[in-house]
Amino acid sequence: MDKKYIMVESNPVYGLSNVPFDEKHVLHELKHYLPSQTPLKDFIHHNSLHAFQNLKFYEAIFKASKIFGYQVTLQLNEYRELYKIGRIKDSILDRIIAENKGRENLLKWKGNLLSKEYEASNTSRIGLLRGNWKSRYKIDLDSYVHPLLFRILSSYLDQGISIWNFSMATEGFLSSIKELEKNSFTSFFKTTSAKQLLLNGNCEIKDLLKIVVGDEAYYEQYLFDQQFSHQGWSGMVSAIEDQPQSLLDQKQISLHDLIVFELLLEIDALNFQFGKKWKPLSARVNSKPIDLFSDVPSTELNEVFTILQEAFEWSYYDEVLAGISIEKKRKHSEPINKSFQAMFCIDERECSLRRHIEKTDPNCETFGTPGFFAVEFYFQPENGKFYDKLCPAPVTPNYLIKEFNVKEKREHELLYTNKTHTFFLGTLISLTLGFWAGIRLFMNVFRPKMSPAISNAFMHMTKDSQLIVENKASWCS
Amino acid sequence: MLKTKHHGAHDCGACSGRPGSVNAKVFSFMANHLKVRELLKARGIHIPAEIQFVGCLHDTAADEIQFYDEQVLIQKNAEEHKKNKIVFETALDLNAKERSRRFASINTKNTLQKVRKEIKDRSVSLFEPRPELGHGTNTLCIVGSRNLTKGLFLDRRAFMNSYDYKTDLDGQLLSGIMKPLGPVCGGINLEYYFSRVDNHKFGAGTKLPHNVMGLIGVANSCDGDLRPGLPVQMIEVHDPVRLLIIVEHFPEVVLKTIKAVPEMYEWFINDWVHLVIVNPETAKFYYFKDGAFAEYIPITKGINAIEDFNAFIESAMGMETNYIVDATQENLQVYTHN
Repeated sequence: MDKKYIMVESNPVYGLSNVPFDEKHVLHELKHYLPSQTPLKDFIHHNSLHAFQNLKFYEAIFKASKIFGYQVTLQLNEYRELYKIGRIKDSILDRIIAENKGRENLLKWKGNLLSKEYEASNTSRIGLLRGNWKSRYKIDLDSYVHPLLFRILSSYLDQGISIWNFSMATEGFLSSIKELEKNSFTSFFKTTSAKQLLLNGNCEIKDLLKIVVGDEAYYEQYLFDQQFSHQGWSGMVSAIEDQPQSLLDQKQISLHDLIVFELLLEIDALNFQFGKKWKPLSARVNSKPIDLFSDVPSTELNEVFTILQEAFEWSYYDEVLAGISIEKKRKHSEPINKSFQAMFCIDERECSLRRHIEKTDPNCETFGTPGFFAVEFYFQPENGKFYDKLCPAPVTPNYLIKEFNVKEKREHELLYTNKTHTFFLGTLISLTLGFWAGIRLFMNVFRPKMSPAISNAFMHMTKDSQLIVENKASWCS
Repeated sequence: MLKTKHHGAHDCGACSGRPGSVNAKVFSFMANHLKVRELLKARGIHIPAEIQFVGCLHDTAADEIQFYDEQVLIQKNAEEHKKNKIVFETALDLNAKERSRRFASINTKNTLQKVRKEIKDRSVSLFEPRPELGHGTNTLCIVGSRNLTKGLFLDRRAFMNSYDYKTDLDGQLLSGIMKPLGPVCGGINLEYYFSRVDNHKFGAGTKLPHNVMGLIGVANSCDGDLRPGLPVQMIEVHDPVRLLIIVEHFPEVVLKTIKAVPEMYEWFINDWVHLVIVNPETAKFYYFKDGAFAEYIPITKGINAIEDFNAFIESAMGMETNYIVDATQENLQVYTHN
């Protein structure tokens, strides 16, 4: 019996709100809490805990930690070492303690922060119910289901790596799987009953949960456990469902379809392992269902983390503000004859370049502004099939800028092709061009150079290409 | 794609994770346009005819700059531009040297030319998992005059948005500037924060065994789930601290501005970013806490000055390991410079 299980029985948090099971609501909640990262080509930074942003920072991170098992601060011993090397300054720490706990409690709390022993284990709520498959049924369901599920998802959503396209039905993922199952000699399923359920049975989430879980009161917790056992894939499916345009080769998929298919694979794995002699999970679970999102009680350790994190942050901020204070008093003389003015992106990587430019030419002036320069549009490269959005994510542009008259030819690399994945052609290419590729790779150690395999910012728009910017008709009207 | 699967994460969110070259070129075209100048003049913004705009792109990995449409420059400006390009090249040399202190493969003490070449080689080497360090170490966002920071060494940790409060006393423009700071700068900062404190669950693990799944995401070797956050190589220099936004204006104007838009206010009232105001007249600081501003007096009394920049960069400490206690020592404190 694992530690997590002991936790349920000793500290249960019962939730009765999840009866009756409301599929629409649960799917909505799942989508809210899953990672919302879109495919790599559209990697846009965001708050990883965006789902908790309606709460205060510390309340949010500790709640997320308790529910999903995330580590949300540095470790206690790391903060203590940061204090020892002076990166958490003593004077700042004292001030933060005094502000939070009162000056009269300074010594006591400083002792807590710097030397008191705390039990640091964090048992999360997620995964407890599904953990019973292992502890009670002695089956590692994930190891049966995940490898196949991930390969199928990857093939279905593929953007050009695979040599064969996934057979697509118009109604999306589940229909495509049905189509394949109907027309293939082989099957993704090891047993016939799961396949029959897909082809002929009731394949609603509720019906399948009845088979797998049994008691409706556990459904919500089960689905959270299941989807957060692979939050990366579930989050990606959810993001693509909401923003199908984030894939160039668009694929229709939904979290609903993923859950149905995963439940079918679970039924298949259980049938394969136990034949027909297995009862739904709720029949062998002693603990009551828990409300994953019920309040998380505050702990002294979390207060310790809060103070140490604040002290780590203010140890740096305080220096910055002291520096600005000095700068405010300093008289900066404006150049009389400005040589040039340069506008840079707000990006912190331009901070040093601006400093060096100003130093090299004291008569210039530099500015910072978000690097789309307040001109929002889609960009279509010459011969490009797709549009690139060139402005912050929340802005929806009304303009399209087209590139034409490109003189520089985009290089293509013969060696990078998915033809190498095929048996005959792959062997032939490996035995011929493969040696040449090996030599070139070896040479790259000594003489690195730009190649089509490396993302090149300067090729986004070539130096001499021209753009259609002006809608001349608009001046006339 | 082969080398940096997360290249979208290296580019800035201001252009949805893409290079801003087209925006720079389009903006210059517009700003040089006679009709646009006429319309601006009618609104009280007079740009003299001899002033011209040229777009350019700074590749922050290779430290190279490319200018666009230089042929539009009149002869006098073309001559000046030639001289200015030399300034940019010199600055890029110095910038490459400053960046090189964090790269184990480059000896910062080499000649400027050699360091610059090595920075460029490194940016295209298939064997280099850290072509650059992305937004790693970002901590500050400063909205105000350049004079607030011109003499400070902030170790490339500050987003900087120019803003002159005198032209916007009621904060009308400030709202447009501050609205994206949460989602863009705060979003970048928190993505780094969480990928740093829990790279296993929030981050993407080490780049080296990454498999690109269907060209949509990465999985780590045979561990099949997609990894949505940032790889270790992008976050190991990062100190997990929240973003401090510093705005040069009067507290009451800023308070009114942030309260006006609930989505913007959520970032501040729930402490996902810190906010400090510099009163432009009294130079006093005000910290935003629980819905109000209270005066903040820095404890730090003196800031060290950099006497010789080259010597300073060459002697700066490098990290021994990427364990936070070692790694943070590579991030330099605040200095003044002349």
